[in-house]
Amino acid sequence: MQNKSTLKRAAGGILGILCAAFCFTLWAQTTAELDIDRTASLSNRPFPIHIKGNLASEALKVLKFDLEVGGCDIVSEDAATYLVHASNSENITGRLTDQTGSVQYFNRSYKNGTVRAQAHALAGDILKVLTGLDSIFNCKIAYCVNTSTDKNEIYIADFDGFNAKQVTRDGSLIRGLTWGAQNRSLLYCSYMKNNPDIYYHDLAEGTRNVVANFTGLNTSPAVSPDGKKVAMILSKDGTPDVYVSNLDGSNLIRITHTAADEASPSWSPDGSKLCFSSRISGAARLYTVPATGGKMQRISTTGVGSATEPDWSPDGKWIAFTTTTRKSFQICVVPATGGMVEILAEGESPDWAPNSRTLVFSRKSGKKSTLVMLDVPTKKAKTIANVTGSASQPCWTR
Amino acid sequence: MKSITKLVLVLGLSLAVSLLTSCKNPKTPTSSIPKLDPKISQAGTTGPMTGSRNQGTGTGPSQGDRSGTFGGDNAFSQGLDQGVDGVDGVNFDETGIGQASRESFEGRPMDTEIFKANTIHFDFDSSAVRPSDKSNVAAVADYLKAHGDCYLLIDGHCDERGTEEYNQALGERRALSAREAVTKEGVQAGRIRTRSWGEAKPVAPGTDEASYAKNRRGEFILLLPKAE
Repeated sequence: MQNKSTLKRAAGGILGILCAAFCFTLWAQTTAELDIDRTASLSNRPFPIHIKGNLASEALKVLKFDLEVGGCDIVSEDAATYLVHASNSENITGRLTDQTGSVQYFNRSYKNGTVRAQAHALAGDILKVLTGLDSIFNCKIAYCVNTSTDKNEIYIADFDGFNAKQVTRDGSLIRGLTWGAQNRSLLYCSYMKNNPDIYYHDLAEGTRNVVANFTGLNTSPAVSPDGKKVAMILSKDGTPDVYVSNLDGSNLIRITHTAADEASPSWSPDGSKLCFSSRISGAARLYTVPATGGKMQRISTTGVGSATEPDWSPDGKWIAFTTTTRKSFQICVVPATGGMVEILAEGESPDWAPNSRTLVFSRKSGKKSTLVMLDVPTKKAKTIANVTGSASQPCWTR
Repeated sequence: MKSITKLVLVLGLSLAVSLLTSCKNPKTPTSSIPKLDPKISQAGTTGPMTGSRNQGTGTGPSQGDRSGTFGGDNAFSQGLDQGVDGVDGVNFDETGIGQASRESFEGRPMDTEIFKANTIHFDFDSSAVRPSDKSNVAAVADYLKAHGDCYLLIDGHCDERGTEEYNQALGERRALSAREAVTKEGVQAGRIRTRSWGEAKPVAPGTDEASYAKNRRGEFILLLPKAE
C-alpha cells in the first residue's frame, strides 16, 4: 500500500520532468503483467516462483507453505516466472521481481511481530501481486479436535495450525462450529447439557449464552454478514427446518416449512438469501430461500448425486459443498446460480477463506481426520500438518 | 504559491531519484506487523448462561403424517443430476408433529437398559421405520401406556457415511420417525422427546456394511417420574 501511494505521488510530482518516460514504461510493464495473471477463474495453472536469499529456516518454511497454499509452485530459478529475493537479519526484507529481475513488483521490509508473522506478511504481499487478492495468511482458523469418538474441543490457531489455543474444556461434543461478527465470538452446537443446543460464545469475555435450546435438534448456526442474525436448524416444529433469529434467540422466524430435513444454512454475502441442503426431492440437494422467508429455489448441481454442507463464497460467486457417495466425500464448487459442478478433492466440511479462492476442509483417513487447504483455481492441496490429533469443522476468520 | 511549486519540484525530484535508484539500492518501505492475537477466554462449563429460552411450541399433532416415510433411500443415488432444472420454485407446507416444552422432560432419571432389546434399525440413508421393527415399537408403546407417569427419550444415530451436520439432521429424522411410530401406537406425542447424535456414537467400530447397519439405529430410553 505504502509503495503504491509513493508511486502515485511520484508520478504526480514528476510528470513533465526527465524521468516521466521511464516511469511510464515501468507502470505499463507492471500493469500488463498483472492483467495476465488476474484472469483467474476456476481453472488456472500455479504461479512458478523461486525463492532466493538467506531466509532462516523457519521463515523459509513459512514462506514456502504460504506460497503453496496460495497457488504457487516453488521451482528452480530457471523455471520460475517470479523471483522472491528475501533475507532476514533481525527483520525480514523481501522483493518480488520477474525472472529477469528487471520488473520489480515491490520491495519491503517488515518489522515487529514474530518471524512467522513477518514471513506470513511477505507471502501475503507476494500473493497480492500475483492474484490481486488480500492476504489470508494473517487469518485464524477455528476447528475441533477429537478427544474421543464422541467428544471434542474447540481450538483457535493461525491458519497454518501454529499458535493453537484451546477454547472449550467441556468434555462434550461440538457440531456446526462457526465465527460470529468481527471474529469476536464463536457459535456452535454443543451437547454439554445433554441435548444438541446452540450457544453464542464471547471470546474476549469467556461468556456463553444460549441461542436455541428447544426440544429436539438445535444445530448448524450461521451468522449473517451484518453480524445481527443467526440462521440455524431446529426440529422443534416436527422436522429439521431452517430458522432465523437475533443472536440472543429472540425474533425467531421459521424459514422453511418442509416435511423433509434441511441442514447447514449459509448466508449469501449480501445477507439477502440462505443456501442450505434439503432432502425434499429425496436426495440431499442445494436450495436457496430469501432470508426473510419465501419460496425455496433449487440450485442445480449438475454432475453429482447429492449435495450437502454448502458454503457461499464471500464474493458471492461460488458455493462450495460436499457430495457424498457410499464410499467417500468430495469437495465441490458450483456457480452460486447453479450449473456444472467442479469436483475438487476428497474431503468434507468446506469453508471459504475471505479471498474467495482458498478452501479449508477436513479429510478422513481411517479414524483420523486432518485439515487441508485447497487453492481452488490450481486445485493444489496442502495438509495442515501442525494440527495434532483428529481435527474437523475448520472455519476461517472473516 | 511560489514556495509550494518549489517544494513540489524538490519533492518530485528527490522521489524521482529514489525511484530510479530503487532497484539497485533499495530504500525499502517498512510494513509493521499488526498484533494478531485476539484475546481468547475459555467459557467455563458453568459460565454465565442466560436462562432457558425454551419456549415450547405446544403439543398435539399438527397436519401431515408423512414425516416418517419422506426422504427415501436414494439420497446418495449415484445417478447424476443432469437436469437442466436450474431453479425450481418449491413451496411445500407440511410439518411433522410439534415438540413439547423441554421442561417437562428435565430432571427425570433415565433408564437406558429397559428398552435395550427394542432398539430399531434403519436402511442406509433412510429414516423410515422398518415394518419388522413394528413389534419393538409396540413393546415400547405398551410400556408407556401402562406407565402414564413415564416419558420417553428417543436417540437417533447414523453410520459414518454422511457429513456430520447432515447426519445430525438424519439422526433427528430417525428419532422423529420412531416418535411418530410410537405415537401411532397410542402414546401422546407430548410425552416423547428426540435427540440426535448423528454419527458420534457408533456401537460397532468397523467400516464394513455389517457395522454400519448396527450403527443406523434408534434407541429408546425411559424417562422415569421426577423424584419428589
